[in-house]
Amino acid sequence: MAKQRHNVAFVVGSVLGGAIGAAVALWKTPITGQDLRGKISGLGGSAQTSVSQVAASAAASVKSTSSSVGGGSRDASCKITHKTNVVLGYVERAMAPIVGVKLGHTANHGGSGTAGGTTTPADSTVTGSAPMNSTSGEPRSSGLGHAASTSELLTPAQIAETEVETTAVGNYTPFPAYRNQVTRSTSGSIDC
Amino acid sequence: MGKLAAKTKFFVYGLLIGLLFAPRKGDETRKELLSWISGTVQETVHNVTGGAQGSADNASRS
Repeated sequence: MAKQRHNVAFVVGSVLGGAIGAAVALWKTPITGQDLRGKISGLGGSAQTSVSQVAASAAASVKSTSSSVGGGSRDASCKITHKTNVVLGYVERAMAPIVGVKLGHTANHGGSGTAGGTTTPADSTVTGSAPMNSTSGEPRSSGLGHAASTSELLTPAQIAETEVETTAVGNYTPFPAYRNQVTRSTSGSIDC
Repeated sequence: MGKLAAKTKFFVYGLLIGLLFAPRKGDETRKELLSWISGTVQETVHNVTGGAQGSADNASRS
């Protein structure tokens, strides 16, 4: 019985509250319900449009930036790599006699009594021909070209002028051992 | 407290529904309501007083 009265009171109270709220809204509303619904839907549509426009513009800007950065970075990295190789070539040539390494030789070179193969006098000039096997006299493949002499190693500036090539990044003196490995374009620039 | 909370809750629901589905503005609603009320009152008064006036006129003629 008490519960039933409670339920009835609840229903009456809720209906009364809703009716009073509706009456207040109808009495005081500044615009019609249709206009209000249109404004709410318009806000959502304009927000959606603005969000999509912002997203599209952001995507376009990111794409253009990435393409410009990618192209520029590729050229920059190519130039940096080329210059680094030039510097390393000079360092290698300068350090080789100090360290006691004969450039162009590898540990696989065979020879009597020496791990590095047959020794070549430091002052001797080695041409572009392949090193000869000491026992058979046959040409032995060094894999990297001829071995540079000390004069070549220590005085790269004395190399013949014809060997100096002008490239897009400046004068480049190819290291003799790696000469054949450098790819050159028809214009004379170095290709990365 | 529970009943008060329920009434408050349904008051808010009614407010929202009234705002979303209001047929006209609040000013127009008030004007129309007041005009309707005034018209109804005048008609009622007229009906009441008019009947009394009519009977008075009939009594005077007779």
